[in-house]
Amino acid sequence: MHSFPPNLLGDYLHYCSIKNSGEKVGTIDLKEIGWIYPSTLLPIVLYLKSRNLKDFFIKPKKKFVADYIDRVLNGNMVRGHSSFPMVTLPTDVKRSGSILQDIYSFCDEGKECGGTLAFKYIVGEITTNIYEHSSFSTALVMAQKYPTKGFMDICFVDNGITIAGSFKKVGMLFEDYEAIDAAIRGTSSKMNLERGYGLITNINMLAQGYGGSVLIVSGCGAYFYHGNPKGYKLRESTKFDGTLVSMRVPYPSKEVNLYEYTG
Amino acid sequence: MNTQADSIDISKAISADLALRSLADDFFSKIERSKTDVIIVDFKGVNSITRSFAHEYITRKKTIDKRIIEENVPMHVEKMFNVVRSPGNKKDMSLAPASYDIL
Repeated sequence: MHSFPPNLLGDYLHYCSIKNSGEKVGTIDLKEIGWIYPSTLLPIVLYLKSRNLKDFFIKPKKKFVADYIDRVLNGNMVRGHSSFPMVTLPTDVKRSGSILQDIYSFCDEGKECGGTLAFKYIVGEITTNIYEHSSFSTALVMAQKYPTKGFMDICFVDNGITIAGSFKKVGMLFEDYEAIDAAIRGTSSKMNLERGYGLITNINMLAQGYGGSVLIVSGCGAYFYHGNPKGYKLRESTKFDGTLVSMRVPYPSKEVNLYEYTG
Repeated sequence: MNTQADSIDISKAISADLALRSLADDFFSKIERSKTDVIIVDFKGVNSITRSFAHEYITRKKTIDKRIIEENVPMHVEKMFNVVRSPGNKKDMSLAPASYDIL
């Protein structure tokens, strides 16, 4: 357990480093990178999209990395392939069904990803949170299996109002890190005690059921579970304009009993 | 009052995977517009359900002015409805950090 190579937080900080260097010189330079994980790549794409520079970056020197990025950004899903290409969530929730089905299909209905019930629960709860709370104009998702390394990543990013922004809409004022803390403890911006279980259940299941890692970054706050929970207040240089939710789980993962984690 | 029952196959009306809360909300908005007062919701073929969907389903069902009858409810869906009806203590479930570092 928890023996995965570079961790999700490290992948996110890799994005911050690339973005911060890019802001100094005016371009996102991926020339020297040896490999790129979803929690690095997806924020880069969101950053470029937000500046209408979607394809404007210096490609990696290593051809297989350049080809990989090209495939993720422009490829179609190929059944049996290890990459689920980057997909934009439609702003109209009624059109999101086919994307969820594509993610399920990519993961063989969750059979090797903790089982159908657990896997679809996690993806469904994250997606429902994005639609209910983030008020995004752009939201992206991608997944990548690493069968030889023994893990799988799924990453969601959006450029919405952040978790603190969602609370603020209903008059609950939090710093970003406090807002993440409140969400993790089950506070719902819908002011309803019966709600607020989705994120708790997801973290419990990913951490304890799958033995995986979870990273949540929202504005100037972050939460990272990798063996134990850690919280962070972020500086301007590591801030995220929106919310990122990323998970890394063993692949294949044995069946996880969803109902052990639903409370 | 029209007591004739309408039957809706929820896996066809929404999806075999009942994921998003707003889709449960839409589903009940459609039911509200139905001219019959008794609606049979057939869960045959439902593969998965999230807590958010189940919560919205139960919440809307309580407030709708029609009789809703579920049929062919799979065990895993029934379990999720029970989870929503008897929620656990969030404090016992939370994996919140003890402190926050600056990064």
